[in-house]
Amino acid sequence: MTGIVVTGTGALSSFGGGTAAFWDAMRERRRTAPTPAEELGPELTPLTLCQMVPDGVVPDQPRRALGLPLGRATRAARQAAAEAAAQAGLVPGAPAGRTAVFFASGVSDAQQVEEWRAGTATPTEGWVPGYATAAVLAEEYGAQAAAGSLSNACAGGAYALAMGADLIRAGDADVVIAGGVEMYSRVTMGSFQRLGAVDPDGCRPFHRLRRGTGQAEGAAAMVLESEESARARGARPLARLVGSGWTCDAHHPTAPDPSGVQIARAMRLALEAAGRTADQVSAVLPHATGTQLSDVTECAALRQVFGPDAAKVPLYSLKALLGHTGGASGALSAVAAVLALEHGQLPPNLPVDDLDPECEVWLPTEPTTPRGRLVMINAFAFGGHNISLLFEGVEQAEGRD
Amino acid sequence: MATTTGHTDATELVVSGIGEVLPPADAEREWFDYRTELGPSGYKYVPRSSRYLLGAGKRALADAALAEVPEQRGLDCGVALGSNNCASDLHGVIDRAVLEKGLGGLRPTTAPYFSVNLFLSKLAIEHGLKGFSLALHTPRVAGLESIETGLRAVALGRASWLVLGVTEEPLDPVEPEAASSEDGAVVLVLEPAERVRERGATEYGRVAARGFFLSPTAAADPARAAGHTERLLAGALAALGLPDQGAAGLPVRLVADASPVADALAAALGAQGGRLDRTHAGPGCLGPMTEVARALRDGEECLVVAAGGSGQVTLARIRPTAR
Repeated sequence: MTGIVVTGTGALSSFGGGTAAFWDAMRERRRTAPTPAEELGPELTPLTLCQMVPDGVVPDQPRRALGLPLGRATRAARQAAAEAAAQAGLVPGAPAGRTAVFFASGVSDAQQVEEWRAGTATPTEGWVPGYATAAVLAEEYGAQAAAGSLSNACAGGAYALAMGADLIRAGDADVVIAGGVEMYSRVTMGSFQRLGAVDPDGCRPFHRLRRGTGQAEGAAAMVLESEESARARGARPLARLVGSGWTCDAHHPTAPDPSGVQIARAMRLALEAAGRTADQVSAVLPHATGTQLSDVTECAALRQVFGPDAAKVPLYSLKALLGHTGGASGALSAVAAVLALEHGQLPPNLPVDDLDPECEVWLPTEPTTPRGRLVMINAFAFGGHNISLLFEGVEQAEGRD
Repeated sequence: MATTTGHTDATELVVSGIGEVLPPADAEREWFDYRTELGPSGYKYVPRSSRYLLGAGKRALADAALAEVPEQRGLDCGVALGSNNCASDLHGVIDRAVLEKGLGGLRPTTAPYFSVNLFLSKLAIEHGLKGFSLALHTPRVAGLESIETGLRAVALGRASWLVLGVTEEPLDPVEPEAASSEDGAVVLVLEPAERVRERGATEYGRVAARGFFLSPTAAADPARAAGHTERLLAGALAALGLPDQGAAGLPVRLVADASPVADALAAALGAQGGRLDRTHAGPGCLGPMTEVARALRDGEECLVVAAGGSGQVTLARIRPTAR
């Protein structure tokens, strides 16, 4: 069965556009300040805070494609995909028959319909499907093998990558552009607030006093392809996607199964698929949203998989810096993992001054050179969707100069 | 990558259960009696599209003689469900509440449904299905795509059996074409044939699906449309085990919108020589799955094809078991 390599990455976040800005912010532990979401109205601010993508980073154009209005989420996804495609040497408009696109989002271009409801924009003629991002990208890059859209909530971006990899494994595509995006939505923002799931002090994973997550915007994309395809195209592999494990809690709509059994099973399935063992894992990018139960549950699952040595595995807690980017978060974690493998270094974590004793984890606050080059990322979601991905570094000669 | 949970031959999966929750002609808005179907409590604040899905899922599993899924069996069940509009109406309710009353206007019971996947993932929760759960939203084709995606996951060892389906409910009135919205749900249960026979359940037949992306630009270009579409169609038919004869001799049911993509596809399918019935698709992805369910029930070997103006196309091949 073919190996799968990553040949391009793209990212967009509150740090700005581009993986370079993303990496610099992680390396410098630069946390952006949440800003009030004015769209919710003055009576709701300043409670409704979000780590927004800075003005001007999401292109204002195009506003239409395929005869459909193009929302901000799709424009952000295009930006992330363009960076990944350029790095991989994919050219828009070039023949790319055995290429596919998979893109995830929690609510996709919901903001567009919200503008119609608020009367700040006029509905267009004809039905506008909410999840048109993959089609827009497929048209742009000449993909013919598939153009699939999914949600899977906060695990969506990671699932899009894994589903793309499966398409390659099954021999149904050679190249896949995959990722996730989440941009501001009044429905999401209001509902999260109403659920009491937002920590007014920001996202503080593993902190004893954490009270919820912190919302953020983001988009991330990867170009995945078979090793044969990359070799034939002369594309440089940045890392390998060597396994993924999927499970479902089937427990509760919004709360994780506190046993962590299905989360642990996802990690084990990823290891099994990759033919690796837990002691070979160099670092983990946990889901770590800062919600009380989710963080404790993930720690319990890590202990089940890594045993007594769980607290010796270095973790990189991305959401502490970035906030929770919903459907983009798994894909942003994946991009962070590949960047860490490329640089041979795990970025320093923000210090957690009061670590929850129930969360026995190691969060190095200095840049760390992990033992080995196998990085796991976790993503979980409302609805019980669990996924773990394993990325492996490549030899320098294979990778970028 | 190696496979993960074992190796069930995806081609050996048969449909063992069909559940449909579809409105009667001239239905009232609340045509689905969820209290009778699902139970007297616990569903009051569940959105309509989720109720439909839970109802169709319950019927499908009962049809497969799996009303109670054993815990061990649930571990290797993959769930793939599609919808384009499941969240539209409730999101309209949530959004207007925020706009008009602020956060205090939001019900805590409905707030979790900002998450679109939740409308679909309740089915796995309800029945303890823990293999995986996918919420697919590809325009027009997400229902048939659930078949393709689910079977690929089985072929790669992620599950040994599947619960697949689709649900839609009417769009928020602010959305274009809300008046012609789709409404209802269809769920299929797919299991290894041997397991179905051992249990004495019905073996409806086999179903497989394959999608592709047909560039709307190419489809609208008279110089490119025919050749481009025919090439992609031939590839999909070959993947469905029809490499030489194509769709010749098979009735084809095309559920599609009015678009250059749909027209190009209709022309290419028509050129195959079989009988082609084209049905206009309402907003959503329900229609093609109702056709799949109907063909399986009626024992009609056929192709069901879904296509839309944004370029996504999926073909499903239905091969009923002689009964």
